Formats: sequence, C-alpha cells, structure tokens
Amino acid sequence: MVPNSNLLCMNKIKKILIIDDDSIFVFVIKKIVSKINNRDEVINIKNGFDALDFLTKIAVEKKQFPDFIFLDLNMPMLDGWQFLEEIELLSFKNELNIYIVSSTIDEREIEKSKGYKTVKQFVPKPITQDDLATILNKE
Amino acid sequence: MDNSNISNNLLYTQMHFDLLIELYKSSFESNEDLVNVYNTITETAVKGLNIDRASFWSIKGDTLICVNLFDKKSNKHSIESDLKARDFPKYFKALKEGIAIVADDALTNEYTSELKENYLIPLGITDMLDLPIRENGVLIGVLCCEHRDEPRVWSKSDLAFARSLSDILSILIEQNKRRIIEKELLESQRKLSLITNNSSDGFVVFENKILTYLSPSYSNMLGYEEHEAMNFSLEDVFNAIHPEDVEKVRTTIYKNISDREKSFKCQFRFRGKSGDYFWREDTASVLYNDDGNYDKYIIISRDISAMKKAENEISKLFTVTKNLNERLLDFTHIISHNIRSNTSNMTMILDLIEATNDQNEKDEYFQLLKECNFKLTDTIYYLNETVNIQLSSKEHRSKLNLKSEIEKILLGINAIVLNNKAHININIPDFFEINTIPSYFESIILNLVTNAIKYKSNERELVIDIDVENGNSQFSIFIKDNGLGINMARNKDKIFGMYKTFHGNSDAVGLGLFMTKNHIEALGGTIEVTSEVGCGSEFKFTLYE
Repeated sequence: MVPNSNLLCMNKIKKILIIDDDSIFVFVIKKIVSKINNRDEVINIKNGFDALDFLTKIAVEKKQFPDFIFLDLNMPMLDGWQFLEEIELLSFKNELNIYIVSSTIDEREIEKSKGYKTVKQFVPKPITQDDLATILNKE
Repeated sequence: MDNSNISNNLLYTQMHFDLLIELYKSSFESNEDLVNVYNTITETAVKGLNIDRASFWSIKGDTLICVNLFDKKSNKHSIESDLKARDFPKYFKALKEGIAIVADDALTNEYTSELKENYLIPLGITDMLDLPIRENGVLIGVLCCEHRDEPRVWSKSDLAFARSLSDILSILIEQNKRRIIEKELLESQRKLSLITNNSSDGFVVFENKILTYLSPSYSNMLGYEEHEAMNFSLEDVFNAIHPEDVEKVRTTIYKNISDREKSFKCQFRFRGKSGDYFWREDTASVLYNDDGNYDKYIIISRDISAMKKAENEISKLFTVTKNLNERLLDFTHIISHNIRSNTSNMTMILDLIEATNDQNEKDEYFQLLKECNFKLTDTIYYLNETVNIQLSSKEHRSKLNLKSEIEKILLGINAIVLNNKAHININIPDFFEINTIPSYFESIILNLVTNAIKYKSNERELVIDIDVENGNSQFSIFIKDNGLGINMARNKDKIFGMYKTFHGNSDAVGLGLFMTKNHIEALGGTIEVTSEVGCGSEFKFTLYE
C-alpha cells in the first residue's frame, strides 16, 4: 500500500477494464491496482471484439461503464485501432475514459493516437505504480 | 482599246493560227528550262506580229528585269538593262491594272510617252504592244512587242494573237513552277527515305488521310513486306493494337488532334506479322491546314520492347525491395512491440519484487519473470529463423514429385489429421514434378495444412482440398478448407504480418503465416488468400520454375 496516494477517492470503488491479451501484464496491473486501492475492481478482456460486445451490452442495459479503459494496440480479432474505429461509431463513445497502454515506441502510432477524441492519453509500457495512481486519481 | 480575247479566234489570221498551234504542240515537250519557253515565245511574237523585237520582262518589286529579248535584225536573244517602275508610273500602273497597252504611236500614247527619252528614242521604237503576264492574279511580268521605224497600226488580229501568246506564257510559267515543286517533293521524299532507310525507327506519312509514305524500317519492324503494310486499312491497324491499349491509343490520337497538338507520343503494344505483340512508341507530328484539318500526319515509330522489359525488370526489383522494406518494418514492429512488451513486463515485475518483503509474493513474481524470459527467448528464436530463411534462400533446389512429396509431409502429421478427423484430398496428377527447396516446401505445406486443422469449424467435418494449376513457367497450389474462415475486410492487410492472430485462440502465436510467406517469397513466389467467415479459406501460392 502506498500511503497518501489517493485520499480523495478512497470512498469510491473504481472499475478498470483492461483490453489486452498479455496475461502477464494484466496480472501485474491487477497487483499494482490492489496496492493502490485494494477495493478497486479490474476486469480483463483479451481482444477488441469481445470488449466492444461487453461495452455495447452495458449501454443497452443502461449499466455503469468502467471508470477507466486501458487499451492495448496489438491484439487478435480486433486490434486496438480497429476497436477505436468501431467505438467512434457508437453513441456512448464520450462516456468512455480510454487510455492506450502499449509497449510501442513507434512515433507514428503515438501520433496516431492523438487523432482519436475518445483517447484520453497514450501511456507507454512499462507503467509504474506512481503513473497508475496519477491516472486513477484523475476522476 | 479593244477587248478581244483568245476565244475570239475568228480574228486570227491563218499565220497566227498556225503559229499558235505550233506553240501549243511544242508546249508538250519537256520545258524544264524556262529559257526555251522564253525563246519560243519571243520568236513567235516577232514572227507573228511581223515586228523587230519581242521581250519578256519579269517584275520584282518596282524593278523590271529583262529576261529574254529577241531581235529580228540580229536574229539573236539578248537582254536589256533593268528599268525602274518609279520612272514611268503611268505605264506601270496600267500593267498592274491588267491593261494591255496598245500604242500605235508609242511616243504620244498616254501610257508609253514616259518611256520616250530613256527608252523609245534611243532604241528607235515607234509602236508598242505590251501585255501583262500574271500568275494567280498577281502581275509577274510583261511581254513587250515593239516595232521600229515606220509607224504601224495594231490590228484586231494582232491584238488577239498577242493576248494568246501572253496567256500561253502565263500557263507555261505556272506549269514550270509546278514541275519544279514536284521535283523538289520527289527529291525530299528521296532524302526522307535516305534517312529512314538507315534508321531503325519506322516512318509513316499520311497526307490528307491517305498513306503516302512508309519506310522499309517500319515494315521491317512489323515483319510485313512493304506492299502488305502499305495496304493496311485504319481498321487493320487498330485491330493489331493490344486490346488493353487500343482505347488509350484512340483517345490519345483523337484528343490531341482535336486540340490541334503539333506533336504527341503514345506507347502501346502492337501485333506484328509473327502474331507476337511488341511494345512501340509512336511520336506523331501533325501539320494542320487553315480549316483545322490535318494535311500531313507523320509517325515515327520505335520498338521499345527492350526498354519495356528493362522497365518491368526494374519494377519487379522495386516490388522485391518494397517487400524487403515491409519486412524490415515488421521487424521494427516486433522489436518495438514484442521484445519491449516482455522487457516492460519484466521491469514492472522487478518493481513489484523490490516493493515487497513477502517471500511468497516474491516467489510468485519469480515464476512470472521466468515466463517472461521464456517468451522473450521464443521471440528472438523466431526472429533469427526469419533472418535464416533470407540467408539460406540460395540453398540448392531439387526435383520433387509433387504428389508423393505432399503425401510424405502429411504422413508426419498423421496423428493430428486422424485426431481431428480431417479428410484431405490431394487432387494432384501422379507425374507432376516441381523444382524447389525441399525444406521450405515442407514448411509451407505443413503450416497451411495445420492452420486449416487448427481453425476447423465445430459445425462440420473438416475437408481439405489440395489442388495444383500448371502455368507456363509457374505453378499454383491451392489449399482449401471448410473451416472457420477469416474476416477479410478486417484482416486483409495483416493476415501475413508477424504476430497477427485472428481467432483469439490462446495458442496462436501469429507466426505461422508470416513464416509461410517468408518461405514462399524466399523461393521467389507469391501467396494470396480468399476467405469467408463461416465457409472456409483458400490459400493459393504460386511458385516459379
């Protein structure tokens, strides 16, 4: 547990959706999140296609969207970019809080991510506990 | 002044008539040299009019130049010195207006009196009959008939005779000019053929839409005899143009002609007599007349097959280079993504290890580190493999029997085939031989078949068809399944990319098709795929002998 990291949000349980097929990364993130705030909830979906399905279902059932979406770029079925293209077409796109979390160092990809209004920020891997805490405290 | 003319031949005397007939006959003889014409005309004038002198003067600007003078007394041809028009404006004006000057008394005549001091008196001329000579309506000279000593009155018959002479002279001068032009034309065509005979470029000339010249080099290029090529109709020409190019040629010609372009180029394939197409480049030069139609259409045609071949060679090399660059980009992608994703995981795990004192937690992280390390090693191994494929593509090829080779390869995965109840039909003729690198070929077949098995549909029994199609110096192998199929709209660009998977299978590493493509390209071949979700996929790869 990191002390003083998020006093403001201690009361609210945050829901984090990680769209990434890298199980090790997901495991590590879960660990770090639990160290920031043990009550926060992490959901993992391994490809863009299922994630799209998941979000659409939430919209239909008028449930609460995840507070944060961490999106990887290189994935099977529907990769990060294709996922974003599909999201652009949806009515609830502005209610989503999407962060691209990728290990790419390709400047073109980082530049490209700025073209999507739905993307809040490009976060390069590896991600430290402090980085993650900063993001989670934004809301 | 009398206005009688040549048609009024009733006025001629018998002598006049005989002389004119004589002149008419002689006009058929070769009159290449105008001197003969002038000699005959002046002599005939002297004889017919019974005068002392007859001469022809040509008019250049404001100068009268004596071209030929015949004097009865000396019976010789000579010339007089030039005269300036400004010294006798009335006389000159009359000629210009086409008036025949009939001076019974030259010294007092309103047109000729100006000539008194400088010309008439010194030469003792008393009577003049001067007729303008015109060409296309323009005054070009004058026929002068002059009488000396005792004054005489020009009769109607004299006048008619002189008019006839001047008309004949006009015609002969014009005829002569035309002959010279024709000769020049002939000469220039000869010159053209001298050039074209020694050139490998073909020359074709159309005048007023009629084919007027065709160089031997042109018929040579086409493989036709000259007379065969000469008889080509426009339709024949267009029929010999390659079907893929004919529309382009048509449009180019019509557009440029309607834009009155003086020169334009077009490249197209053309079928020679042998039946084979060759590439030619035509440069057209067009001369238009005032109506906007073209008078002359000159085509210079060059066989550019060799150049086109080189161009193709270059574009092939370009494609190879482009492929290599794409592969390089893929490599960069792998390094940036796959190696980094492992190392970044390692960094994060190390951070976690550092932050905890719990031994159990540390052990858990250690296991994760090991897993990361394993994945990284794997990635580097495949990277190395890819490089090796490129390096060893010069390995020796050998002749294989296609059918038995595939059967042998499939025997190696017999267990998988049986477990998955896959029906594999090898529809390949028994004696089909190919020349290839065996290890690469094995890898390609193995990958495509195991892929088909891996992504079979659970709704139906898997059937895989392997077919071959024989081309000229190439053959294509088709591997068709009735499995899950791939969403082509989404994955068209990345299907053969590295680390791309399409079905969300956890054991898919996204290397199979990438490696397959590498193997095929190392053999100088190509691969393509057609697929439909829920129906199956068909991979077609083509290898060149």
